[in-house]
Amino acid sequence: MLERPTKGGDNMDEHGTHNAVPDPIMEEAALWFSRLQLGTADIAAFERWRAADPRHAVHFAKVANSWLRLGALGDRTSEAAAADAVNAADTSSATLAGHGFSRRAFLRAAGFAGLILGGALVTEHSFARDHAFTRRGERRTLTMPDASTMSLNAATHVSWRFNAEERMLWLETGEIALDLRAGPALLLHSGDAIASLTSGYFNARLDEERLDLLAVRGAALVTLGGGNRPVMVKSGQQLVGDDPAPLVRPTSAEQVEAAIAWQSGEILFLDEPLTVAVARYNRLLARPIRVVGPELARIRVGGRFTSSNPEAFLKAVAISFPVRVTETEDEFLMTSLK
Amino acid sequence: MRYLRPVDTWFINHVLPHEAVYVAVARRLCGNADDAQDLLHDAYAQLLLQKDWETIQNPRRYVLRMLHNLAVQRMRRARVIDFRQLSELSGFDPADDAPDGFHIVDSRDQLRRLMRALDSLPARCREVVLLRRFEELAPRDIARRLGLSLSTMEKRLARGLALLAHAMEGSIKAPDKTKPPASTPQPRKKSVNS
Repeated sequence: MLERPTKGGDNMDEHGTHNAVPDPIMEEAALWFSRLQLGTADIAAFERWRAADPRHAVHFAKVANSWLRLGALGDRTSEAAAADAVNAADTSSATLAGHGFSRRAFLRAAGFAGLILGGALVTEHSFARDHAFTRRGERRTLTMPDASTMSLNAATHVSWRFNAEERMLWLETGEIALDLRAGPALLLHSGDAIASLTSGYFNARLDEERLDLLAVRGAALVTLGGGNRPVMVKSGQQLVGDDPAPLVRPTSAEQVEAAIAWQSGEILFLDEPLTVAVARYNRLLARPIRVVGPELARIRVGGRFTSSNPEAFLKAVAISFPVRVTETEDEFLMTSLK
Repeated sequence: MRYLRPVDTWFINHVLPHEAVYVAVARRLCGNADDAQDLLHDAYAQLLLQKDWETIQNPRRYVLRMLHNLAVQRMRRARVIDFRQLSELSGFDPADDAPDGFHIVDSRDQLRRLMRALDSLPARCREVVLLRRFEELAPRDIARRLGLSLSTMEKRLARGLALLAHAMEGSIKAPDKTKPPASTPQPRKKSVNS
């Protein structure tokens, strides 16, 4: 490869590694993009340059694409990247670390609001996100900027960035249902997984750092961590974070109903082990249920219950099985009668 | 971003995500990476000039069809034709079986690649890119923090961006093991015509 000297010597890093871009149009496009980003561009001159040759427009779009994809690296990864980069960099970067290079902390301090600190042309919230939370026993439905809707089940934290170019969503904890309008593919980040969703209707739950994704309508391409191959989740299918590898399986109407019952304030159990059912229920309850003793693990339960009030569920279990239910101020206890 | 026209946004969201597919096809059609890149940029350029881009139902298939047509045009003008190319052209089927509507570029691998490119940027460029992209800071504040003039910052950001954009192209150009290195003379390179 050619080692070409260029103006300013900025193309060489500390080790003198080759870093030239053998494409003058790309250089020009990047310079225009940079000026636009910093508010130093002569807009009319830029428009003339872009209109002069369709290849200029192509290269400009490619630079913009890298910029946007860079944003898609996401909170967790980009922070790690930023930290790595800062660690690996020279002393001037080390001072950056000293300034607290944490966007998450920064945004938190700023109350998550979109910050517009830029110059004249910098109107883009380049990395601001909106956040929503629910407590135990609480549900919320939000309308997104593109008129899609998102419902949050109890104990959920989700953040997002929606604009004309991208739709990004981070499911940090809990469960959401998405009714997605047409638009750019929605990138859902959750645990180790990144899912690209088409328009449609989806239910996503983060279960012990594993994504459980149901495509009621629409499809999703999911890339998972741990060296797993990307998988396609089609309409009517569900991705479950099973060990050792995640599994895509078809769903029955009953299973779909069970998965989305929470939205109508219900919880549906389909012949599930008691401990699994209770764990699911507990995510919704302000006062949790505790199952005491290994004998109860074998019990399987089914039925439809109110998600906020476990009274009927507790009664049903107590009637059907040799189980005693006791109540304290903090929890419900299920113990074996045998 | 207000300096992106609707056609640019569409191009970024619906055309560029499939670039790896176009490059693979263009390389089969052209026989070498440089001509393939050239062919693809021709197709992109035509696409951005297209008035009715909004009516394109399947952008990927459309680009593949364009590549095919442009390759045929080029071959008609060329004096020396590579017979392998001819067979590629006649057996060409733009209907590939990869799923439509997905942003292949957004896969974890692609993000990692971009991350690696970010990591290998010259430190001076990287810090400007990171601060501008990931911190909500005004350019002037970044310049002050780094003790730089705006014009130096402009150049460093530009260089970083050019390298990143190039790396995203390069990543799909690089793994071509079947072709001779670029420095080898290309006897079948298209000859000059009228």
